[in-house]
Amino acid sequence: MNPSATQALRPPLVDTPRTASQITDDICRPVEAMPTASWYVGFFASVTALCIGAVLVTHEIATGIGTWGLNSTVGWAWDITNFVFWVGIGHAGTLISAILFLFRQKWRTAVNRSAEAMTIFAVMCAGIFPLIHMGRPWLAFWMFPYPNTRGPLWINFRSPLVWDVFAISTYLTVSACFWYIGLLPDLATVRDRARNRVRKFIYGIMSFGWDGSGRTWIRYEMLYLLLAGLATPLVVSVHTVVSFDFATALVPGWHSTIFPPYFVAGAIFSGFAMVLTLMIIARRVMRFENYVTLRHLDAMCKITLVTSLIVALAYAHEAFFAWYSGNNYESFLAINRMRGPFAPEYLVMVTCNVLIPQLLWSKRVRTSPLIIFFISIAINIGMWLERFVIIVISLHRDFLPSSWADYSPTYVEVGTLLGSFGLFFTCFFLFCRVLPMIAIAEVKSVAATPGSGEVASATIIDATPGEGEKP
Amino acid sequence: MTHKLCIASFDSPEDLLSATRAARESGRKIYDTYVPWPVHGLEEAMGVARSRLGVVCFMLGSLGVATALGFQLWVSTRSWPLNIGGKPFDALPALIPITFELMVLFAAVGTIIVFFIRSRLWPGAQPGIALEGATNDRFILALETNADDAEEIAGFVRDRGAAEVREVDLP
Amino acid sequence: MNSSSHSTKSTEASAASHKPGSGALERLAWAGAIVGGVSLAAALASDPHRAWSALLVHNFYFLSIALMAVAFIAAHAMVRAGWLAVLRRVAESMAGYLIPGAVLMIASLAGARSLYIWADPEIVAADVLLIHKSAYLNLPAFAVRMIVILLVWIGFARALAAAHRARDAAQDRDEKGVAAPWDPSHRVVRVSAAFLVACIATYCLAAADWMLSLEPHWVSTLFPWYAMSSGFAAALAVLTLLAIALRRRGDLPELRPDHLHDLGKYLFAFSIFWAYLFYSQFMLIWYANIPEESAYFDLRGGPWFTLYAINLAINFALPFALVPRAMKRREGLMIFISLAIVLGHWLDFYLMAMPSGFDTPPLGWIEIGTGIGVASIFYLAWLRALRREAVVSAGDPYLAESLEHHVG
Repeated sequence: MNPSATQALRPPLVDTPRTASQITDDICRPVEAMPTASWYVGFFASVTALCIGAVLVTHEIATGIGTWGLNSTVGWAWDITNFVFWVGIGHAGTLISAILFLFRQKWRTAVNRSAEAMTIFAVMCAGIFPLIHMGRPWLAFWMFPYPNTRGPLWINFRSPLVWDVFAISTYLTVSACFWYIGLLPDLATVRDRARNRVRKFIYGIMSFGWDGSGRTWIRYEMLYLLLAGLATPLVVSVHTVVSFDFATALVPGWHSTIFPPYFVAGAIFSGFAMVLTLMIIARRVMRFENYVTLRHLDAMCKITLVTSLIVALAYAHEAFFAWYSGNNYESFLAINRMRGPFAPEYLVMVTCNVLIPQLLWSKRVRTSPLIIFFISIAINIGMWLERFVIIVISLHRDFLPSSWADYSPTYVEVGTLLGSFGLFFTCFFLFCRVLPMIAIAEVKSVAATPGSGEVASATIIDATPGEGEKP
Repeated sequence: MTHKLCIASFDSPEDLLSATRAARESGRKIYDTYVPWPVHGLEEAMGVARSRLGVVCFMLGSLGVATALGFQLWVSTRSWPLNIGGKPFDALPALIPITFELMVLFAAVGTIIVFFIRSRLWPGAQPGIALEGATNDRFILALETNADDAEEIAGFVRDRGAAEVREVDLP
Repeated sequence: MNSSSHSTKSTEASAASHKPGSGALERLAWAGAIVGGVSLAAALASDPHRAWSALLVHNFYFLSIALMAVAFIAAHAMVRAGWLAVLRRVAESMAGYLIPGAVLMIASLAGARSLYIWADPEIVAADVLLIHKSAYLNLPAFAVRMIVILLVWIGFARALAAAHRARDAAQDRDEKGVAAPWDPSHRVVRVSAAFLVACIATYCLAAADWMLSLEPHWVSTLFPWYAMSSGFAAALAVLTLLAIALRRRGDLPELRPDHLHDLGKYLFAFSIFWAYLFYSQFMLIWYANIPEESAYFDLRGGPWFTLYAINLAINFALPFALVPRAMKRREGLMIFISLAIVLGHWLDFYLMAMPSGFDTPPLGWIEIGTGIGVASIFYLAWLRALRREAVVSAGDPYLAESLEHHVG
């Protein structure tokens, strides 16, 4: 292949060409140096939020879910909104690590590690909410089928809530494994650089004795491909199953066949917004601007825009078919969303999810980190509200007007959400400290220039050395 | 009779690939290579057969499907038949999500375990040969040598651009 | 290999005035078009309801294929994918069917009364729901929407082809020494984005209008996306078949097993995606069991059930044969599976449309004759569009990458 032609067609993946060992130095630096002041500030703020959440959750478990604003009409509200929100956040990580891998998108190498970490932390946060919603979380193991002395009394395999248990736990397990597999070679790199013995010992255990053997790498590549192939339908299935929690019901606004793909698109949408939020901060704080370049942000913004459009299309389908169906309950719901007591939430949702992301059509917006940052925050808010709109508006005015009710959250619920953000960011700050935030081996394979510092442009672009030999 | 390994360290993946290819074509025994990232074409250069992990993954996935479907059907029709929403006990559409999830779980976790066993990786395992720079920026070829041909092999890799050549004992 | 040697080869080919894709298949297609025309005419005379239904199913199926093939190209153009360059014109030319398809679609407005119960004022007058919907489902609005939709499709497909052409021509100039722009695909990317937004939105409208309204009492919000996924999988299969046909005639020597490999991956992935949407729609309706909704699948039981089983077997189960690496690279197998998938998704469209109008599956000379006719017109329209330029655009900046495409 003609290297100069390729270079004209696709921009390079890093701004300043770096050799393999320079890349190792750059990426390992935050793990090996003492944390900066901003890290301490961020970390302690997160831990504080986590503690507030922990106190309130303890209070809620000790007292009961009467501490929440739920009532017999609105039986799901803040907690399940948070659950769906956090599960959705996780989806972008798997999309980047698995789906973009299958699509041979090499730019993913700069962001996949942190996005996958985000997936795992987000799914952990998500898992908390159904658990505490049970009221008696110490009996949570009842959700799993295990031989027991009550019959044996099995769980109901035909219930979407049980599907959820399987989907979320599989997702957490497989994502964590996938993430760790990706980490192995980099942990070995950190081990081999370690100067003190404790560090060498810990990273030695964590890196499983990885020595860079070619035979292992060949098997490893096959494993990575297989895991990507499995994770791709898995990530689709997870939010699909979450959507089944609603769509199998007879509640207007919940029972809609478009829910599965629409939820998946919405999940990726919100997840990318969160990846953007995190990466815009991280690339600055960790000085990774050379690896997570403006072109990376640009690419992620484009995916955000595409998913925003899919979500918009789904909103349009719902509104149109609510009228078209001629079903009184469906049309009532559509009107109640737009003009009922929760109309402000609905309008903010549409603004944040459909209108504001349209700014991303502009290349200038897509390459201005500050503007993207605010857009991504708006999308995070909008997508949280989307789940709130779906859950609460459908429930609060049900089929029987005499049971119509209002809903507003208590300080316990708000504090629990704060706590979940605390958990998420605490995990993320720890991750930045102890693990390489960027996949070192993968970035080297697509962006390293040959050893001695001399720059050959072909290898910046293309991961396939050897092809340069052909005429 | 193999005694030792000739460790040749190269600056670039291209040099490693051509040296590996040449070593294989001239009938030398390639013990292994050590590289910081999966070098494209290494499989073919080393003459390693395509990994059969795919087959393992498929079989484990099938096992997951069989386990999930079998267990759910047994529970729903034999052990604890429960009428839910007037649906038949063996309502297949409702069993598919869990079947799918278990397929993925079995296939993914199982394949990873098989990979670890096959590659002799486990928490606390020590690297077979600890090599300077193999996880950073060196591309290393390890050829098997014996007392007679050690010199000749060292010359062979040097001719092909090895920056550094040394001998180590077989682990 | 570089692109200059390639362009010389293409020029020689066109100098010899060899027409790509000519031969037995083309003659067969002409015969098929005549057979189709005759059988459609005969059917319109003997059983207009069946004739219009058959025309709608086949025409909408091939319109979907044509549009989705262009969407496939547009999606790749947007992300600057290189591997597809040798197949671009093959897929792009499938848009050639949009014009005859549009003509047939507008012609079938004449049969609207026979197809759609909402077009019959007497039925509407006695049906509260249809009165409610008549603000949307009425013939003038239906016709206007149809014309707008078809114009959007044709217009955007042409704009995309023109953008590609302009880019490739500019690339030719570059090789004579004019400095290359930083991003030669800039305009192509923009047009592709516009194409995808406009065409996906209008396709949803088309599926709702032309297919969903066959059963105006039934609603499924997923239906338009479901039809789209079916059309997309079929478009991939048709693209595979056409590319292999061209290669076998010697008109596309650039097609290598690596390209088939990637097409095979897509074919498998989108077959699974189709099955996912099928399951989502079916399971949710089955689970909730709301009479208005489950009527759709009730109607598709009995004599239709076998066809549903075949539908799932071909479109979901069969593509699993593509999973092993070697299978996707084997041309014979790819032909077999692609053919099966084209038939399978045809069956899917048939099952979307027919059960509302017939008690038992109508499958006789009318359907087969019309099917052969529409497929033949599709083939001829594709061939016509293909022959306007070289089969492989020599100036395509990604051609070098595509020629050397290697799937590990």
